[in-house]
Amino acid sequence: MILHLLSKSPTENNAFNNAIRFLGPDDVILLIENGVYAGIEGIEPTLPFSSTTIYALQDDVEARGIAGKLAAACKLVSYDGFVELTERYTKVQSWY
Amino acid sequence: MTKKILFITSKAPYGSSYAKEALDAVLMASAFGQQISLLFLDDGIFQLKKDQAPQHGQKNISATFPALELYDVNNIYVDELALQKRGMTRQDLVINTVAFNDEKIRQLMAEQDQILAF
Repeated sequence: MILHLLSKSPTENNAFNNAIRFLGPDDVILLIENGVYAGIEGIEPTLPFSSTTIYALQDDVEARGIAGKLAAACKLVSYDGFVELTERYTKVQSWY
Repeated sequence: MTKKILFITSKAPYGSSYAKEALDAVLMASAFGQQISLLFLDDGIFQLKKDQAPQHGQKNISATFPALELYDVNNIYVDELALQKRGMTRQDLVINTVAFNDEKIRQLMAEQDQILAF
């Protein structure tokens, strides 16, 4: 059970590709910083919304003005939620 | 307490300090007797290229990798696809490593206590 922290947009560098390549069946993804762009409905390449739980940090989403563009499956979390996730998933992998 | 720690290093050696910092962290963790694995992803594999000759007094990072076994760092892996995509094979590298596919890398990550990315 790994919490994958993704902080780059899908086309910014190889972080997105690596997060998807090495995602395990019990893992989840939290989008932060420019990573929140990966949560946009219809953006390519696309996150595996149907098979993986995807969270996005609300402050970073709102900072970028994309709250209305996010895929419905993308769950918004606050900074407190971020902390709770790091408690639930003791193993965190940052892709940056 | 001994922990299984995986270090992932994915940047080329001289354009930034990530590679050097990863290596320093690996050596430090080994000094504390931790159970270490080291994985090279993406441009990180260029750290292992033979024949590096940095100029202007820069230290050759590849000279340190053969010494890792003295620090009991024996679990060293490279991403098979990263090698392929960069026109390299394991013969281009300064040390013997194990080339892993996606599934093996997922397993490697799953069995760790902690993962540190550089």
